[in-house]
Amino acid sequence: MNDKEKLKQSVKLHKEATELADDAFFARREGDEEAYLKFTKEAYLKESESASMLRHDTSHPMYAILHRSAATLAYRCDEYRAAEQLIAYGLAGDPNERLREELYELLDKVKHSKWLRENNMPVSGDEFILSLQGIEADVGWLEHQSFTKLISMVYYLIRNTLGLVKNHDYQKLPQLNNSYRMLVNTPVKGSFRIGVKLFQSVQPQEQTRLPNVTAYDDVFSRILGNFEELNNGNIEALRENFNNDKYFHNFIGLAKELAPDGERITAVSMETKIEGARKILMFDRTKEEINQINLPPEENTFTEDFNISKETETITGVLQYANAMDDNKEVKLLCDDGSRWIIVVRESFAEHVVKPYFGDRVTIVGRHMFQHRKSRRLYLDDIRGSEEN
Amino acid sequence: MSNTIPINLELLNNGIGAYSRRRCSSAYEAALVCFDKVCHQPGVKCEVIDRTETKLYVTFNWNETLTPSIRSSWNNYSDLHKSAAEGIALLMIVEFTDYTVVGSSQIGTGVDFFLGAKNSITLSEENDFPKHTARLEVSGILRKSQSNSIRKRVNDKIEQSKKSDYEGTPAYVIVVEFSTPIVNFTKRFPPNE
Repeated sequence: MNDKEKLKQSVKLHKEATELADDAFFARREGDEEAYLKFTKEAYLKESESASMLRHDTSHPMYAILHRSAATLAYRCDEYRAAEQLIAYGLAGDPNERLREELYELLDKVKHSKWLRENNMPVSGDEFILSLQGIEADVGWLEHQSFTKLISMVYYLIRNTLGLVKNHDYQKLPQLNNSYRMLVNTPVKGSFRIGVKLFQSVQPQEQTRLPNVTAYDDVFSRILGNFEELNNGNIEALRENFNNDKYFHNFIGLAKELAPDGERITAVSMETKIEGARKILMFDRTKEEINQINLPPEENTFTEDFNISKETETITGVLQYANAMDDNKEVKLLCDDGSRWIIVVRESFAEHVVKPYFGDRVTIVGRHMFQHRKSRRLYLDDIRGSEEN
Repeated sequence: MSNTIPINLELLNNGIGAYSRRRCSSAYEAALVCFDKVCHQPGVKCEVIDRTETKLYVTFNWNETLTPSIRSSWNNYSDLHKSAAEGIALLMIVEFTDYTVVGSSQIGTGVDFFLGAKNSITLSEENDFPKHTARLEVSGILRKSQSNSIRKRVNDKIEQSKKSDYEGTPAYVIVVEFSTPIVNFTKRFPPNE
């Protein structure tokens, strides 16, 4: 076959590959995962052949594009070795910077999936993906405190959702790693995005979906569903999803921490990939809007002798380590003028909303607790880091 | 501007350039679902605005009645807005420029569509790949909000289009907002042009 004929053949094969990729796209949309994989594999073989027809002319504008496409299709149908080889061919030409970047990014994904497979992790396991947009996250880097907080929030969301599904008492929630492994994948450049997968902690040969399939399947979709209700302002429906005040308050506390502040983080999107089906939610309720949700005080979080005023007070100071969190769920705040305040924390906020701020300078919004007259004791409604000196 | 240009959404069912009939029909359905969600009827008037704030108006027309099965086939909202916006954007490109679609990036990443001269597909006659002479980035918003404004989305997409400036071709950025409705139609050139 001469060069002209090869080019012609490459065009023909690429068209056929595109049609097969379309077939795969529509099969997945209809939820037919088997057909999706079949068409994707056929498309990969055609596109790979199409790319190979241009190997005599690595400077052809389509050379690297076809190799990238073929590698993407190979990756999608779990042909990792073939994907690596196609990426290598693509890089061996002279792709421009952007294409080079794309090929390297694809190689990272292929390596990650290979690692999962070699470690007996289901590569296509259900995934929960959280993406942040805004000046703090747009370049793919995040302040380390924000990153740590984000991972903790996702951990608590998963742990608490599992706790609710399994009817655990809120006070006796087990650590997630007693029964599960939560894996977090590397952030992708160009945005800030983390993916989380959840596996049962069992021996590799037993590594399948959890025996309690319903509970496992529900975790990510429940989380997304709850955020959807919150986003749409369906607070009563959300409360009913929990049917337990502590879990509900806890979710509101976590959601407030994750919510965009409208300045540094402007949007948070969440995505679940469950058995290949994707569902996406753009969560755009702000912290301020979530603050408007009225959460009644929880029982047992303060002495019954106290009344709680309706007006709120805002104070700033350092949250003290000393007596960090006693049984009454009280913490102390040392203000700039030397005054000390006792902050009473609802149990559902104690662990993940307040604890991360120990030793930090914070601004507290709370309501006065009083017996006969007001004292320096606040019932906490909101807490946030403060940059004031 | 008082002139209103009619655009028939059903033209999508014939396919546009190298973008298959099947994909275009899917985009057509998505557009109908989006307009239905925001309670717009056939003949809905839409403002088209460019970077210089020049305005013109189009009306989107269709005859088909939306069936429950079409509606329910679009459960993934993110794909819905994107597909619907793609359909509208491709019709706008064909209506207002000399370009058509010569390739898309449904395989792999990069820009949404590669554009070429309207006769380029015929000219290449299967002997070579059609030449890309422009790019198109598309985005769809069902209802604008404070954190999801058209302006912000346009700026995001303009930034995204810069990543493929190496092509040395002009980039079109089209953002469709369905509830108003409004189409923001921006053309930009790579810095060295």
